[in-house]
This record gives sequence, structure tokens and C-alpha cells, in this order.
Amino acid sequence: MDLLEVRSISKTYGSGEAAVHALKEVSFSVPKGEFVAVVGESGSGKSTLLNMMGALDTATSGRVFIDGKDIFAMDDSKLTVFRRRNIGFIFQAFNLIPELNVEQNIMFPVLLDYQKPDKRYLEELLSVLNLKERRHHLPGQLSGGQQQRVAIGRALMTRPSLILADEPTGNLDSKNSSEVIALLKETSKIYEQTIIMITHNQSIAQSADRILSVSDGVITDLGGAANEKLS
Amino acid sequence: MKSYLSLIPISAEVHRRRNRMTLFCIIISVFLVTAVFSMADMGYRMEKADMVKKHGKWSVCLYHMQQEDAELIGLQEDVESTAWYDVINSETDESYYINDKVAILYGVEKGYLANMVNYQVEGKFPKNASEIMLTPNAREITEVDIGDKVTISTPSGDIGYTVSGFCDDDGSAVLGDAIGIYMDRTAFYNICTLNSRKETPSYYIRFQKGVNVREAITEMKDQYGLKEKNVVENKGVLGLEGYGGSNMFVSLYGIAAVLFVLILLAGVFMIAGSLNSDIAERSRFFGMMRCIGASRKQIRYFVRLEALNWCKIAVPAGVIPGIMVTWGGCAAMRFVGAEFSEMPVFGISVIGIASGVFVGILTVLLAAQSPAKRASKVSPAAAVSGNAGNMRNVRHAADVRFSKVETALGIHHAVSARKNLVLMVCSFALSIIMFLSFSAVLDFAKSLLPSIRPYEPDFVVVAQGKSLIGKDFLEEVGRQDGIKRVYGNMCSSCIPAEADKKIEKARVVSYDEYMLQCAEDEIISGDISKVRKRKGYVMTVFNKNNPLEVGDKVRLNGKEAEVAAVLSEGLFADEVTLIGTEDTFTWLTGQNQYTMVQVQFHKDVAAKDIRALRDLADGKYAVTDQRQINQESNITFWMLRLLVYGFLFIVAMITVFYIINSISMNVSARIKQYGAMRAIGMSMHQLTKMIAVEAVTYAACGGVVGCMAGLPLHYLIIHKLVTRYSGIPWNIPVAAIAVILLIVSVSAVLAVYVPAKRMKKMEIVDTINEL
Repeated sequence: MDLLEVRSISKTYGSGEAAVHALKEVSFSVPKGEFVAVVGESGSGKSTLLNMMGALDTATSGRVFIDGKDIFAMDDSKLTVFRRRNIGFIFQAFNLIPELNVEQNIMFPVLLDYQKPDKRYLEELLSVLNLKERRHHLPGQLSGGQQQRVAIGRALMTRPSLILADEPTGNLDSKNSSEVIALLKETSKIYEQTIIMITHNQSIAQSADRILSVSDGVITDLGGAANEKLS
Repeated sequence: MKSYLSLIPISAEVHRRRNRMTLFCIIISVFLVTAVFSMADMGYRMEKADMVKKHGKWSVCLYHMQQEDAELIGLQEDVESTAWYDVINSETDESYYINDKVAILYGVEKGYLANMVNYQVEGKFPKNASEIMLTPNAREITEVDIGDKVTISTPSGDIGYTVSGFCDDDGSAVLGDAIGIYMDRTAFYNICTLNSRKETPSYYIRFQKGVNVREAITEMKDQYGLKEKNVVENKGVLGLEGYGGSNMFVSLYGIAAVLFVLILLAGVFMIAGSLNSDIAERSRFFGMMRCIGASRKQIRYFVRLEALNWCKIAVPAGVIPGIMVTWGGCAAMRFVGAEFSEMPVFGISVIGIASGVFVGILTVLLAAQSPAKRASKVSPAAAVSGNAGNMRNVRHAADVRFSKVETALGIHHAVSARKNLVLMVCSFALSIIMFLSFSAVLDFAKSLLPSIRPYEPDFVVVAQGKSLIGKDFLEEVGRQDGIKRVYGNMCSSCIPAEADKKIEKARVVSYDEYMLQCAEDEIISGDISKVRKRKGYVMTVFNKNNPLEVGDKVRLNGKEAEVAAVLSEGLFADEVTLIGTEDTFTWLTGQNQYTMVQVQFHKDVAAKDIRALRDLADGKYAVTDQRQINQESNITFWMLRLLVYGFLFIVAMITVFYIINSISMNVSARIKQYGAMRAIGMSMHQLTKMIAVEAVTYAACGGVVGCMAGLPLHYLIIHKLVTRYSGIPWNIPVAAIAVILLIVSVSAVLAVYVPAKRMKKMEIVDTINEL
């Protein structure tokens, strides 16, 4: 069953002569548990696509279904809760909360849901992410790789079905990069999660199950044995 | 781009929205400081002009001076001018008349009118001993004009003169229902000789500008062996010039200085706060500049120039409306009239403008240094990685164990950045302190102006000589048309009195029921009902020299009266005054007739009714029309009230604006973080709550600090300016505190609403990408 379905998504910034078509009628779907890499040149529209999938931005036209639910049809409060519970985000700039320590940052989405964090799962994540000894450190006291591991932990904490990662290794050196990717792959396998990751790095992209290529707002390659119609 | 500094206007253009808030803060601060200081300066000039108009330009007046000593003083370098002055019948109780009207005779040198006082003169000063000048009321009363012959009757004979002009006096003539006559010293000497009177001239001195008057007076006293009681200073004018020496002026200037420092601080905090809000972003920018090769010196230079670039627009934009508001305010006050007619309308206050410019430029320069300093400490990598600035400040993790995560984060946001917290709390507190201080000043203004007392009469009829006013006169006045209220006071002065505390004599006054009712608003301590109900109970009026308190027993005329209440003010505030009912008064003094009858008119009283009242009293009693003075005092009070309330309003507005702006800027600075939180799953409601908690934390801390610092200041102002002179004790200003706390709370709510609305409108992706 497809976890994610993107249907004829378009995004246009500005209007008239100044209009920029960031995405043009993009459609594809991703089955549950698949690790998809999105590659493309700068300005090709891959980040816009990721933002659409996470409902961080509104599309000019088209729809996105996650787990069969039309996310653009939800109002802001429903969408917030949906995002909190079903989507995990990993950003290039980590975007950790500087006032919270490692443990608190990872628990943050659960705390926002006014739930009691699953301590066992938290311990498990900390140990998988190799952050046990750093659990009480603040983000400012961590290296870039460590910070990105915290961000991954935060994305995994609510056991979301979809993880959206925007160049998660963009700020990391090659050793840290491969560690983070290995970790992502491993956790997605363990927790049966779908991962969509934007990257510039071809070798990282190769480690994905499938590579989507975006160019000039259009998907040029669906990768793998995909049967989707090209936009 | 010609040099790296060309980046300044480009950067200003790009960050227009962010800079707009900073510019707005600078403009508001400069405007405020310019307007307040200019108004104060204008007010000072007006007060000085009014003082000079009322009390003259002289510095000091010497009694019982020897002619030779006086001449020597006149030759001193620090003395600008001198003049002799003498007066006959100043109390209007002697038989000096002009055309059958009581006359006050002034024997003065020409220089007295020219250099010592500031009266309006029409015509010429008497050329010789056969000419006189009259006060302008002579025109209406005796229908004389310049060139007319008049006769002055003195107890020992009549003398004829020619009227050479008209000239005001200090108001004695009008108040005493008499005509003032100015004559030269020879004519005055002739009258004295005719009536076998000894001249008792006083010698007026005006010092040169810039002379330290206090030192000059002390020197003069030592040199000529002048006794303290023979030296009278022009306290009002000297006081305003800072040579007052009286405690009142020292306190007043001290408090004015404190209030001005508060306003200056408000301006400084506002600018510093606004610059501090986006310090993280600015640090990153400067860090980036350092990365690409800018030296520290270049950064410092850049910062200074950038600050001056703001000032280039903001300072004139603040100063010009400041001047306009001052002009508007002065014009409005001038329009109202009374003593404000001396207000300069298009005056330019150098002090006001200089303070505005000073606050603008210096604060901006100082506040802008901080990000540059920080930038030099930020490592180039951190500066550009995106985590610089916002990560560095955090020392402790937020405590999410005891409250919801958004609440914990809100509090943490408020308290974690210490400099920001200090700035925010100080500005909240400052607003509260200013509000409390100015409300105290209003109490002081109220205590200064006696004519707003409800029993202040429009007309006063005073018994002359030994004949008192009978009760039948009071009844007759009551029957006249146009009379709203009439009440009499029996009064007996200088009665030898004894008490356990040190008093030698007392003045006893009777109040009727109406005045007793009014007195209830003036009670400092004690209970008026005892005075009303039982004979032998009196009230006393607080003053520094009156040691009596509630419960003290005073013995006079072989009887003993107990003090049942102390009032803050009364008809007479000097010496020891005892006030009782008419029964108590008669029991104590044996007297049952009035010394003074006070009349209040209806608003629409006709001129003929006033004339009728005058006629009724004419010949028997002295009549004084107080309406003009009352009206002026009333206008002064209301203007003062308007000014102080206006100022309170401005303070409140600054509070509102500052709080909204600061919170909004804090949100702007954290918008990326908020965007990430929203992406992770924080709802708008949670985000708003987080910002609200931050605002409430500032407001609560500011409220506590503000009250803690504001109340002692309030106490100090009340104690120094009000309690010391009128005895009214200090009370916690509950109403003022409630009002300002309400304003602070409302501002905090508004402060949350504005950025929350802005965030709601933005796409999450825009907030994450916002730089």
C-alpha cells in the first residue's frame, strides 16, 4: 500500500511576468517503508516539493495524501496534530530548540502532544543514536553530527510513518554523513518508516531504495521500478 | 559599491522591516525626550516670566539701610541697579484718600519701576514733586485721566497733583479696594513731613546676570552688618534661578532632576531594547563579515556608521514633531490665558533639542556597539552555520518537568537571555516608576493651589478696624440676588495660649456647618464629629510650626479645648490655628460677631447684584473680589492636571508601545525557531501561549520591580513636597498602581496578539527560512 501519494502538485511564486513555477504538476507515490532520495540541482524545486509533502507550505494546485488522508483538506489545528503524530522532520540546519537539552529535544513532539514520553523507547533511541552520555547536554554543547542525530531522534520519537529530511547531511563532514545515513536506514527498517530525503550527494543518494530526480520543477526520473507516470 | 561601507544603505534597504522598528523606537525616544524637555523648559521660562511679572526683577530688598551704605552697594560691580521705595497706608487702614477713595502711597525712584518691577506703565513717571501716577483702577473708580488734577487728602491736609500716567502695582490696591499712587521721593518726603511721619524706605537691589546671588547676599550681609530680618529676598525669582536656598525649591529641583533622568532612561532603554532584540541576527551578520575578511576595526566603524545612518533619519524625525508638539502645547496653554499668557509660543528650547539629539545619537552608538563586540567573539564557522548567537546564550536547559512544554519554554525564553530580561524588566519597571512619580507630582500640584478648595469665596467682606460684622449682615447678604452661599468666620488672633507642647499664642477661628463639611476632606487625623457635637473640641491646621496633635489640650482665656482633628489646610495656615464651631468660638473668646464674611455667587450672577453687594458693604467693611484670582488658580490647576495627565498618558502609551514592540521584536528574532517548532507539531495555540507566557513573565517581573522602586520614590515625592508642607500623610497609591498594572497587562495581551497574528499569516516554511 502507498503511504504517500502526491497528485498533480504545482507551486507558483509571484504572478504575471515575475511568476516563478517552482513545481509543475508533479505526481508520484511512495509505498510504506521505502527510503527515497530526491536529487536535483539547486533551485530545481526539491525543497519546495518536500515542504508540500510536509504541509509546511500550501500548493497552488494539487493534493497530497498521507496514509490515505488529504492533508491539504485539513484545517490548521488538525494538520498540526497530524504533522506532530505522523511526520518527522529533519532539517539541514538541525533546528533544535536551544533551550532544551538532548533528551528534552527528542521528547519535544510528545510533550507538545501532552503525552507521557515512552521512557523505554527514548532510552532505545538514545542508545541507537549513541547519545546516551550526552542526554543532558544543550544543543550548543554538541558537534554538528551529534546535533543532527538529536534531530533524527526527535523525528523518530513519535514513531511517525513518514520522515522528511531536507539535506540532513548538508552541514556534516563525510564521516558524520555516512553515520547519519546509516542510522536513518537502520531506524527506518527497525520502525518500518518511509523516508524521503533530499540530498546533493550522489553516493548518499545511491544508498536509497529509489532516487527521484527533480529538474526545473518537474520529476525527470522516478527511479527504481516505478510505474508512475512522469509529470 | 565604492567601499565596504556602501553596504550600509543596501543592508538598510534589505532589512527595511526590521530597521523600521528600530527607527521607530529611536524616533519615539527622541520625540519624547525633546517634547518633554522642551515643554519643561518653556514652562520654566513661563514661570520665570510670571514670577517676574508678579514679584518683580529685583534680587534682594534691604530695610533700614543707611544712605551712605546704600550708595556704596550701588557702586558694587555685581550690582546692576538699585532703587529706593517707600509706602504709606499699605494696609489701607489710615486716612489717606484720593477723591474720597482710600489711597496707598508709593514713594519710589524712577529706577524702581524701570528696573525692579515689571508693571505696565502708561504715560510718564512724575517729572517733579507735583506729579503722580495712579493705578489703572483709578480710571474707573474716580474717572481721572492723564493731565487731570487730583487732590490727595492726608490726615494733616490736602495736596493737589497732576496725573502724569498710570502704573500697576503688586495688586495691593485692587485687593484692598483702594487706589495706588506713585510719586517721586521728594513728593513722598513732603507728605511725610506734612504728617510728621518718619520715612522707612527700603532699598531694592538687582544683581548682574551670572552673579552667584547667594554668595553676593552673604557677602553683603557680612560687609554691612545687615541683620537677617532686614534682608528680604525675591524668593520666587531667585528660587527659579536656582538660588532659592529654600527647602521647597531644593526638593523641587531634586525631584525634577530625578524625573528627567527617568525620562532619559526610558529613551535609552527603548533604543537599547530594540537593538538588543535582533542582536543574534546582527551578530551573525557581523560574524559573516569577519569571515570574509573584515577587521575588527572595520566592523566597529561599520557599526558606528550604521547607527549614525539611522540617526540621520530618526533624530530629525523625532526632534521636529517634538518641537511641533511643544509649540502646540504652548499655544494651547497661551490660549487658556491666566499665567500661561506668558508662555512663549514659537520658542525653541535648546535644552530640549539637545537632550533629544543626545539621547538619540549616544544611545544608538552605545547600543549598537554590543553586537559588534559579540561578533568579534563569534567564531567564523559558528557565525555562518546558522546556530551562532541563539545557541550561545543558553546556559541552562528549560525545566519541562513541572509545566507544559510551551509554558516552560515561554518562561525560559524570558529569563534565559539575561541582558534582554534586564532591559525588558527595566523598561516595564521604568514605566511604572514614571507613572507613580508623576501621579505624586499631581498630588503636589493640588496642594500648591489653594483656590480649588470648595469653600473658596468669590467675594470677601472683611471687618475694618475694631467694628466686627453682625449676623444680620450675613442674613442680609443671603437675601440678595445671585448669591449661592454665604458664610461667616469669627476670628480672634494672637490669643495667649498654653499646651503641653510649646505654643505661646493661637488664632481661633469659627467654621459654620458648610465649612465643617468641606473640612472633612482635609482631615489628616482625628474626627470632626466631636467638634460639631460638643463644645470645647477644636481642630487645628497642620504646619511646620504647629506642634499640636489630636488629643492635645490647649488652654486659653482660662478655658481648655481639646484638639479633635488635624486638617491639612484651612483658612489660615500660619501660626497655631484652632478651629471650632461658632458656639465653641464664643465660649472660648466671648466674641460672637464675624471678622470675615465669604460669599459665593451663582455662575450667572449679574453685574448689578455684585454692585449691590458692594454697596451693602461699602463704607463699613472692606470688600475684595477674588473671582479673577480664583479663576486663574483654577485654570492653572486644570492645566497642570492636564499636563501631568497628558504626561501620564504619554508614559502609558510608551509602555504599551514598548511592550508590544519588544515582544514583537523578540518573536521576530526567534521566528526561525518558532517555524521549526510549528513544523515539528506545535499548534498556533501552543505557540501563542508560549509567547504569552514570555510576555507575562516580563510584565510580572517588571511589575514587581516597578512597584518596589516606584513606591519609595512616590513616598519620597509625597513626603518631601506634600507631607512636609500640608501634613497629608503618604498612602499607598492603590488607584495609580491598579491603573498602571492594568495598562501593563493590557499591553502584554496586545503584545501577544500582534506577533501571533503575524505568525498565523505566515507559511511555516517562510518562518523557517526567514533570516
